[in-house]
Amino acid sequence: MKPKTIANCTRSLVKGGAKNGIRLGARGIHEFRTAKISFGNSVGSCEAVLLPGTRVFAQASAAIGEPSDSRPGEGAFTISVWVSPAATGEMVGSSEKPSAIARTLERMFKENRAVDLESLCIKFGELAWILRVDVHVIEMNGCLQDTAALAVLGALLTFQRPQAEIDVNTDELVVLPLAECTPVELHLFHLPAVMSFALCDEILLAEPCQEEEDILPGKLLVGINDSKELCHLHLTHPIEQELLLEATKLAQAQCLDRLNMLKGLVEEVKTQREVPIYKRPQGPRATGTVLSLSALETSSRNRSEKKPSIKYLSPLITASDINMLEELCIL
Amino acid sequence: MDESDRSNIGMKRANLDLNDEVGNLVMPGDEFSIPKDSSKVILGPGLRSVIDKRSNELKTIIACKAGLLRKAKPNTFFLEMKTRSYHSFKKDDVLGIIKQKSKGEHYSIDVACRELRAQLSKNAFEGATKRYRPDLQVGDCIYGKVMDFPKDYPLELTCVQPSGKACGLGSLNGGHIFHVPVHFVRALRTASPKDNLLQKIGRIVPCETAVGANGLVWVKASNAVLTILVAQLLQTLSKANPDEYGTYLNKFNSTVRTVV
Amino acid sequence: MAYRTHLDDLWEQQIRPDGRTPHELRNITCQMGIFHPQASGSASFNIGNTKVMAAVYGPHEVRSSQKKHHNPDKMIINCEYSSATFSSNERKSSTKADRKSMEISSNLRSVMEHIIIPDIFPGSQIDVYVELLQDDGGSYSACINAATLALVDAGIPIRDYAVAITATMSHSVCMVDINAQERGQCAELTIGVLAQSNEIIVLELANLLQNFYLKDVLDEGIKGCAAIYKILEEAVRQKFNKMEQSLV
Repeated sequence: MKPKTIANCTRSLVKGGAKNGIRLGARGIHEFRTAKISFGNSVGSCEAVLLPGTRVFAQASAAIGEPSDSRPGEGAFTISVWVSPAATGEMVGSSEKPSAIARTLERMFKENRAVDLESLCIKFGELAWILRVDVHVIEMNGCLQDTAALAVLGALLTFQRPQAEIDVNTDELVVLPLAECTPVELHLFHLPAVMSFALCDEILLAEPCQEEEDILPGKLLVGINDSKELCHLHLTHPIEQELLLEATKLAQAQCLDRLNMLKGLVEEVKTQREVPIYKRPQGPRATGTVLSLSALETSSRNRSEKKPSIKYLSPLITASDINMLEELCIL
Repeated sequence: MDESDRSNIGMKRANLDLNDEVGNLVMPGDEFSIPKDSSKVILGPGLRSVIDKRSNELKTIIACKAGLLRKAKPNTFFLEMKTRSYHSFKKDDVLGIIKQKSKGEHYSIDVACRELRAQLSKNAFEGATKRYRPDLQVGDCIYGKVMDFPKDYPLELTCVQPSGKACGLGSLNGGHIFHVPVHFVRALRTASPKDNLLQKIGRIVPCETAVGANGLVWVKASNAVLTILVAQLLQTLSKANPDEYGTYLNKFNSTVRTVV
Repeated sequence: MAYRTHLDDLWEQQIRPDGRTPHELRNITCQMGIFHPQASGSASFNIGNTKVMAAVYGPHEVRSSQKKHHNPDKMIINCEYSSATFSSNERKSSTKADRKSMEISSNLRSVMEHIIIPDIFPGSQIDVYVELLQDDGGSYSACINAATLALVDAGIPIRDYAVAITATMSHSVCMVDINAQERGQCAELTIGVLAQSNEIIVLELANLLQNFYLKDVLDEGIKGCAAIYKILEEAVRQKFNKMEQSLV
């Protein structure tokens, strides 16, 4: 294991090196880290790696539930962050680190309305999709926010949910399984990404590693989206205005690069996926969950009882889906 | 391993002969029979003797780690392992970082090992007396020798050789300290003069190095760029195959040429 | 079809919905020593309808719960932000433990750590409590101003004043001091500077802002901070003038 105490010689080496344009990782001071993104077999799972040694996994999932009272016409969106103790060797579940990451992600994706939540509404004030992204930090070596934002964006872009609608005649909620309908993708208004910088006496270091983050006093986070709009700024150390403007310029160029790479990868995944467009045969529906709305209402009125348990839909293929696929083949 | 080798009880290999297995890979849990001819067997790291509690007699020898079984001259057996964690032995040279400077007579030292606390007496320096002794700060690097490792107590380090001279031990100034796997450090320390990696590097970039048995390496070259380059080379070499060392060294040579 | 409202007419003459010009601040009042004598120092800072109170306790001995992780050569600065349940439109049940408050608390702490001179009281602790009573835009910047005033009132040695204000760009006009109504339509950039060195120490952005406009918005914000600094300085001056008179 690595020593926990930072040696004075390393400290002065990093600080002195920054002034002369040298860094521990032999990167240039304005050189960003290489990002690697891969997608899982299930929809809406994404793993982002910033070399060397930061790895974050994100999984998006959706369930049907009640929208909040203050926003009845919208679905809900929650982000939860876990820092694996295996990554740090100690429990950090309740410390500031996960909540700082979660706040950054919330600001970028939720408060800046990156996701179209209105399209997640099924019935005004009563039923809506509740979108949830679980972020797991698996390995950490600095730049957690950058990696996490990339992973969440990848997960949201590749996520698909089944269609759900209210039957006009019977007023019942019908959830079509993934095999019976064309799955719906999320609609994103803009694609945000975040870049972090370490600050050291009028010098910017792009995307520091853990040691540099610990040693250098300041940290600057710049979030920029694909239309060159700033969406997040965070600063922990005094900084000159010119330096800040330089940082946003650097971040803008890098964000666009990284987003283009992500978009390309997402396109690839989507073409590989190729969902057959299904035409429903005439006659009564064979499969599909039919939930009576009235039943849901009565259970939600009795608050003493448990709420209808929210079941997160498994993105994997279920038995009913296989039946459907078989039917397809016969047709 | 042949099927016939396993006089097996379930999956476990038992009744192996220590002398037969020298040079082979041994798995944790493998049982060895006690050699009859030798009066005394010395077991090194990775091997444990199991004593029957009732009769208080030696029952078997068990391997508790995975590694290659090696034999040193007179009936001494040990396992050679690839590991990142350090187990201390007397007279090991270790590198440490001062973690805390207490008001008492000791510095507490971070020796990059979770379960080991270590301490260094403030007087254990060359020529130190109660009045005149080096004043070290938190974060300073020291190169020391393991003097004693009592059970349940912190590891005791010293910065003087038994002769009273420092002979290279003591606090280190400047440079860079970093962590590599312990087995790589062992290879560095035991290499023959012919294929000594550090000497080969030294021919390309003159630098001071200190290699601690606990996996820490300290490097200081003439300037920061070279220090970082050497540190990186050692870190990549620690993950590489020994056959590839030559190509890495050549690559390193050409990068150094461009820098200088 | 373009649909015009009377606000658009006002915009043509560069008048904001609440009747201010783009570079005009809302009415600011501040008061020091509001929790006298319980707290070592305290202040309230009101800008328009945004009301913030801050109290400073200490320096005092380190609380036993924090003693474990404490380096005896350093000073602990503890900041706690809370907003009253009735402060904004949406009533909240608990406001202390949510992520937003925790974020503001930790950000406030990093600002305070930069302005307080740390080596004067080694091994002691300073508590800064900030309470948001009413939120009408620019609450975080008001918190920073109130906390700075409270530190001055407590007589804790500080390097510099941290002053903050919000600014934005809307209809290609830079505006300063955004209120809640305007916040819904445009970005809100909270800018805090150290008054003497003019270095930026706080940056928080809500909503989206074109990167291209950042320089103009920053310039506007720094001008606003200078105006706020004058007001804070005046408040401190008045307070100490009063003290002198009472002594005579």
